[in-house]
Amino acid sequence: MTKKNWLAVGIIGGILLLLAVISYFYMTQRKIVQKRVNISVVVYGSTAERWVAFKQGVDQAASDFGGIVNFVVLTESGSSREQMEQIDRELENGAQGIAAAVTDSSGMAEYIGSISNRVPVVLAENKVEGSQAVTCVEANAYEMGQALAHQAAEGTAKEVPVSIVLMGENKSSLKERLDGFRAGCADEGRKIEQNFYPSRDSMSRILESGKEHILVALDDLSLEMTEKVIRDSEADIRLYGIGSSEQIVFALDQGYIEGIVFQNEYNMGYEVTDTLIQKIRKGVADEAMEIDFHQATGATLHNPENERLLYPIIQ
Amino acid sequence: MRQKVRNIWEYIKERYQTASISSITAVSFTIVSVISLGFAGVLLYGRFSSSTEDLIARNNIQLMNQVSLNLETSVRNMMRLSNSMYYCVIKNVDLGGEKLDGEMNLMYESNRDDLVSLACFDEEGNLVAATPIASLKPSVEITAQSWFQKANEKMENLHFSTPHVQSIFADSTSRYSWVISLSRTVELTRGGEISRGVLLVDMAYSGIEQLFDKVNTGGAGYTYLIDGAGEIIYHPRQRAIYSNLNKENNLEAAKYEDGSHRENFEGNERSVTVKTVGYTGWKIINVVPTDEFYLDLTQMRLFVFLIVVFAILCIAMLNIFISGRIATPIRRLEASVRELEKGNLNLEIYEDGSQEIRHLGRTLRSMVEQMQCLMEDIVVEQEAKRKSELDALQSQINPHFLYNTLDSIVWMVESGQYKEAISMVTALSRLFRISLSKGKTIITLAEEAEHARNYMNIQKVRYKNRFEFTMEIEPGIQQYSTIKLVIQPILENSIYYGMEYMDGDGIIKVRGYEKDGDILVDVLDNGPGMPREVVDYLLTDGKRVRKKGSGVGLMNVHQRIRLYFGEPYGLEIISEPDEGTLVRIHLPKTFEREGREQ
Repeated sequence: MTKKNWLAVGIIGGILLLLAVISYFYMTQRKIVQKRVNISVVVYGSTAERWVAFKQGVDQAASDFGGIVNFVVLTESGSSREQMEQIDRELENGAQGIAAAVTDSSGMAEYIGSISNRVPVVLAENKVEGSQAVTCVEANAYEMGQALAHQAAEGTAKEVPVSIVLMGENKSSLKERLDGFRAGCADEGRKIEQNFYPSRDSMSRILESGKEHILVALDDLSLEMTEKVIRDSEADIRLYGIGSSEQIVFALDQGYIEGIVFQNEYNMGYEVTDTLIQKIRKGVADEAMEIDFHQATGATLHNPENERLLYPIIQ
Repeated sequence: MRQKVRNIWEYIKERYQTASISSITAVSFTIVSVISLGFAGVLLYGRFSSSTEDLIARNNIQLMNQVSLNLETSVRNMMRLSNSMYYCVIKNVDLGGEKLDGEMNLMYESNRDDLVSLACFDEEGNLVAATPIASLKPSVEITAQSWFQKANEKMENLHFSTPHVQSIFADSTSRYSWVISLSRTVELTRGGEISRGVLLVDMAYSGIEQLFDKVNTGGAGYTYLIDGAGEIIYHPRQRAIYSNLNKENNLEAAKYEDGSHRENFEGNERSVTVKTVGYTGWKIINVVPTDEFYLDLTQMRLFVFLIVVFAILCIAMLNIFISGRIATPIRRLEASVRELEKGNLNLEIYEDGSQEIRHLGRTLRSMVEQMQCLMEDIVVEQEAKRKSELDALQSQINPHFLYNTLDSIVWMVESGQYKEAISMVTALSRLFRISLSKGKTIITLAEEAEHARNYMNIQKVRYKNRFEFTMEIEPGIQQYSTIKLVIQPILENSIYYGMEYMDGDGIIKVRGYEKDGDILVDVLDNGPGMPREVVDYLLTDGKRVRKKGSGVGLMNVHQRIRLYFGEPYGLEIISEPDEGTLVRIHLPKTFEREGREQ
């Protein structure tokens, strides 16, 4: 053979070798599985079922996008200090990102600002003051408050007094709901009489008055506590509130609560986790979507749409 | 564009046609291999993808048949329960004096794993009996329930609802259950009178969920369940769909017939397999995104491609090797032929390789040998011919010269000049001795000069000293060779044409010398000379006939010198009318005295 032929044979041999190597690696290597990320979700303490739907959303998103979740619910009386210590522990344990429903929007602002410089942080439901850069997945709390005011005003006469049951005003969502509720009442020409703490002592006056009264609770915990207080009362109290725990839905079904406004907790959990994993993987995340909210009364509770949101099918 | 393609095609064609045998063989075989292997690869891939698709479809159908069978069993159990409750209990009880509760509780307890509740209502929606909770919520309106209305719409049928939360019972706990309600109209007997009622069997939704969870164990494909109208009964991402995070093509899927379908949903191509569940009109839908489905096929396509490329490259390499093996002997034989073309007949001709090439090599070698023989023959023949021509030319001298000389001697004897006659005979004797030279053609320049001198001595006697003759040959060149009888004929011409009309003032000079490595002998006379046109044909016109002298002309000498020594040598004539003539003999400086002769 000539030199030219030997050269051609050599080149072809080289290509064959290259092909063999490529084939070997291609055929033996399986699909590259995206590495799973460790995230921690630390939420403030509330009632037992407060976070059920939220956690379902978190778990679904973690399954969809490759996350390993440590879901931590603080004790019912959880303080901001407890939550900060818990987050620190999670970070020490190797959490690559933190999702948190903060218990105190103002008290934890500085802390959230500092950890967001170390790891990706996404907030659920409550923003922290002064840290606009930290993404927050939430429903429009102000509009929820307004919707609650309109719902409460719908089935009652104008002269029926309205009172608010308040607890834990440190959360930004609560403040916004309150503002929205007040604005809604103003729209409806309703005057807010006074604020109560959700306890029998605090509400003794209206419980004993026997007069028709509208009570409004702006979060799950205060709504459940208020419902427990008024359940056995003879007083003509119409209870409305924001929340969708199993106990609240049951009370609504039983007629102890007149109506509720509730955010799509499942969506919130899903979005929070999706956003956090995106931040960990890409450094940035798509703009977090605003969570939808809905209303239900005893009459509309068993509409298929409300049933699907308020009675989670455990999957 | 067309012209460009045509040009490219022509270029390729030309390159192909003029390429080496090795290239043509390798390229042709490789093209054939590429075409056949490419064809085989496409066929293989097509066959494989079709088989894979069939296999996946068969697997899906098998899976769905299994799910369908389990689901039908579950549904049939509920229907059997409903039938038992109706035909074995309700029909045998007169509500005027008896109650259903006992039998109903018994039925519930024996099926409580799959059941949530059993209840019977009269046609106004009043509760007749229920278990495990025997009371209704005060606010509930049974006649407004969809399962109740559907049962009354088509009384002869059993009706299955979509999943819903059973909320009619006065449960004191916050526990809730997702159920699928099976409702039917029944005949109630009360005091002997028959009225219509509705029997409700609430199946636990969790049973269906568990059934489908077993087949949705991961991967991109999944199976879900819809009712006849397309409402989702079960979906692995039901919660996400309810929360609008995911969408499903369930309403379209409800229109599909049983079997495999292709659909494009939200930009994703999907393979959908549908199976209708008996008794209920529900449809089990299996969805496999074609991206996932074709992932393996893409891998296979790449694999087939790699194999084909691998094979083609191997074949190309083999082709190059084989074509090289075929073409190398031909190329070597061609190299031998090229050497032959250059005139090298002594090379060793390539005679290796395949049988045909060996045969060609042998034939060529034999041909070259024959050619060599023929050429040697030709050389010998030419040599012989040259010698015979030379001999013929030289032999022209003798008779003429002898005739002239003897004529002069006769003339001297007749006129009583015996002394001169003796001298002349002596000169003639010397002349002939040199002329003969023992048969040699080549003599030294000194011998030739002596021969010329003897000749001139004779001629001077004949012409009564009408001219003067001088001869100067450089001593250094006298030993070099020349063919004999080259100076004498020129002197003869000078005498006959130049000195005939001279009255003692004629001069003939011979001068021999070396110049530029050659020997020049000039014969100069002061005769009448010749015009240029006469000079031009003296050495070229062979047909010219001498009228005087020995008959050996300039042409004779010129041809002899050229025949023996070659083209550059010979005579040169320089002459002008009334100026005299110079004949220059151009000879090589050589000692070839014996070699050529032999």
